Amino acid sequence: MFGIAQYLNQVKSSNDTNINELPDTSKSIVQIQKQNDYSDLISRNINDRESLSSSFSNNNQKNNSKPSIDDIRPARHRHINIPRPSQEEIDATTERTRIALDAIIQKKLGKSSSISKNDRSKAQYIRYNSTNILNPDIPTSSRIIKIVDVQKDPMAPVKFKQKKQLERPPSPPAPILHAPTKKVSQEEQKKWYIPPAISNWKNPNGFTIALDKRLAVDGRDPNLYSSDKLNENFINLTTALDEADKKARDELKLRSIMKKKLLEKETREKEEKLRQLAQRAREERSNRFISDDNYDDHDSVRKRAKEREERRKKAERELKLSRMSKEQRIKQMTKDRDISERTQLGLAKPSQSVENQFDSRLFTNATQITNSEDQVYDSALFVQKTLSNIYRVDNNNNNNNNNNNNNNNNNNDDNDNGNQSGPVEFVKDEQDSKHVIEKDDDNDDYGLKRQKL
Amino acid sequence: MNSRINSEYKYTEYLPDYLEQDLNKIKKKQATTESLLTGEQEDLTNQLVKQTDSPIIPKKQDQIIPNDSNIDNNASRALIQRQQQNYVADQPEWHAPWKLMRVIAGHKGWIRSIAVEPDNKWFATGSNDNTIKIWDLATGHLKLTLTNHIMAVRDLVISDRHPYMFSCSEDKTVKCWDLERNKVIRDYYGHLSGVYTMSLHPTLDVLVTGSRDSTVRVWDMRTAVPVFTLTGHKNPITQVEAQSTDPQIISASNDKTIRLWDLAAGKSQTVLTQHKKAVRSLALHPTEYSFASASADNIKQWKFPEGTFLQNFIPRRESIVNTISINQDNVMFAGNDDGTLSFYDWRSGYKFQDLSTTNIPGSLDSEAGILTSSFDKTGLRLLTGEADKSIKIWREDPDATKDTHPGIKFNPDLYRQEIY
Repeated sequence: MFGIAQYLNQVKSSNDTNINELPDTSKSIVQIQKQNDYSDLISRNINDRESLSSSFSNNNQKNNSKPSIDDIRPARHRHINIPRPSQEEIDATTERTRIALDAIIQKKLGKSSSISKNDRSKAQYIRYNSTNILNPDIPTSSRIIKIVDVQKDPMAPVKFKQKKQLERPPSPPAPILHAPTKKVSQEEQKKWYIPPAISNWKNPNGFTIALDKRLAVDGRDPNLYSSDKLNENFINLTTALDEADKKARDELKLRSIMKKKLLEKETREKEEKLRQLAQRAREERSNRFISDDNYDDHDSVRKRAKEREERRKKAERELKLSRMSKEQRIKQMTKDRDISERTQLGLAKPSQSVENQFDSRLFTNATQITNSEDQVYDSALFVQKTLSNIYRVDNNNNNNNNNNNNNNNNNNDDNDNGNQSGPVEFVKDEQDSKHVIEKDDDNDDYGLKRQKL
Repeated sequence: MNSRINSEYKYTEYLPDYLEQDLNKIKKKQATTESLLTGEQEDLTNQLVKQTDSPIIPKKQDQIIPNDSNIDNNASRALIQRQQQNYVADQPEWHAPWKLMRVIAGHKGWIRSIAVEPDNKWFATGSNDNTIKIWDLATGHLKLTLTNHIMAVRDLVISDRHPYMFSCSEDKTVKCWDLERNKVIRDYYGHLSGVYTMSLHPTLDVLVTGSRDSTVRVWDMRTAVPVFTLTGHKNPITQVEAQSTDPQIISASNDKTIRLWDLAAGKSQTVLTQHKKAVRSLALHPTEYSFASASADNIKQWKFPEGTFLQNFIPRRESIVNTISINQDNVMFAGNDDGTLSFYDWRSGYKFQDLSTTNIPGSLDSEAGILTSSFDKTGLRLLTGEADKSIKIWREDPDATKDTHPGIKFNPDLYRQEIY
């Protein structure tokens, strides 16, 4: 920076006579501070027109040191009308400037044209009269000398190195008439942060760009494709089509349900017929047996009782069935169904239709278990419950066994074999001992057996 | 040096205590003299004294001097008139609010410059897409596209004394277009960096250009000879203006200064250093002998020829002002970098309207920004060149009246805060 103090130094060194009154730059600055006016310093410039504003109020006319109200209000309130300069003034300045500029232009243009003239080096002829100082009597000889510029090699390198001169400031630095700028805080800096431009194609840093911004970059009018510009008829058509489609689907669904119901009804009727037929056949057979065994009274009574029992059981089962839910009933029926009915009638045949070849439940199961691709099977091979129970001793059974052991030692072996569910248990063989074991339930609190010696 | 100057000037920002006391004394004195002069009309003088206490009286001349028969004392009337002369800061003049009239799209880059033809038939725009386009002012139709520059066209000037248009560009060239043949006829070669701004001298055949190389160059229009290279600025020139009387060249720069140049001598005449931030725009008043300069900190009003600081435009706005322009009706427009437009009353320096530009659909929020502006020759239309690649034409609301659109409320207290 080229400071005022430096400038003063320069001025001082250049012409000391002018600044006799300012022997020291620091003093001069103090003086300036006192006066608070740089104008005398500044006006020392070469240009006599130059003026620099040197105070805030900029009230040059005001020389009295007395403060006035003008100091605290904008200068605009003093300068109400600022008329433009008159035409004469304009003309005068124009003329003055034109002359000045013309001179410069002519000089520049002339200079450029005279270069070519100078290039053509013309010989100069000088008449030379020699005079002998020592002996003036000798007559002088005169000759003509031709002066010619030494021819220069245009391709020769430059003899002198050209040094670039640092440009001096054309005018003294102007006093700065504003308060020092405020330091920018972190927050303000953040406010001014401009995010980097992000390409829609390349984004190696993975910056996020809002969707609307992406669309906006596209440059098309986003409103161009908005719904309010669609034809209303088109909307009507689409809605009508949608409705028709929905209706057709509903109808189809209804129809299929109805068909299924009809089918179910048919099959039920058929089954009913079959059952009736089977019943009749069974009755006929039983009647035949009864007629055969009629003579034995005792037997027939027993048989009748048995039948009665059977019928009662059957009725009971039917009652149960009727009370059961549909699912349970189906389960029960499949479980208890007497396949012999069909075989008896000679109707049992291996199913041949493709539809019934596979259990449809399998298909549904497959869809349910699609959690992982690794799972190939529908269900686990071993059910967890049975797996965990394989080698576990059933406590209840064990206790019973023990009791049994204690109670009746004699048939111990038989009981054990029958009840065993877990792995083989080893029991101390008490039959071998010759001591009589007394049954003592009261004291056997902990299942411990007390032995009498 | 900055710190030294600051330390020297810090206490000059505020009035020292002894000055304040003196001021009070003066005021008291004035009050007493007035009361002596007026004598009987004590009520009235009291009023006046009150008015002197507040530096701004929000009243106009005719309001201050009532046509009352009570005031027959000549002395008091003279006093009142003097008072009035002292305190002009009255209610700002009412201006109709401006509104968007037309949007013209066609350029493929930011609009960096707008120039209106002297006959007000058409206007030219220079853009970042290297082209100059000529549009019909009335209809907004494209008339012509001129291509010769290879970088953004930063400024355009149309001469009112020749059939020429001048354009300057970031490609360091200044070109002269013959508008009768639509061809470039002259090049002004010499700038070391992009040329940002230019101006034509109104009475001389001289072209002034300001460049990024922080020089202002003066060219002879016909011979394309560089007459002067005006050095002194330390940063790129943002705008130059030329006028017919001294100072004939005014330049604003990014080094926060404005320089007034003496064209005949080719030297800097005055340096204005009041701005705190880079000065981005200048505008000369068409009828008054004053000008305004816009920087990010303030828009300031100056008086010619000596460059006296007149006032700040208030209220201040926290945004970068890119361009200002003034019309004949004392309306000053300031276009901001964030896409807001501000309209000021020239005399009072008070903002009467603040509105934000309407983005062209499909442009980003960040693309809102006024880059250049110009009133047409009548001052009734405002053309703005914007960062969303559109030209917008604004006009005053014809239906607006003072009652329906009073504008931003006047607050005289703001003057006191913004004296410097």
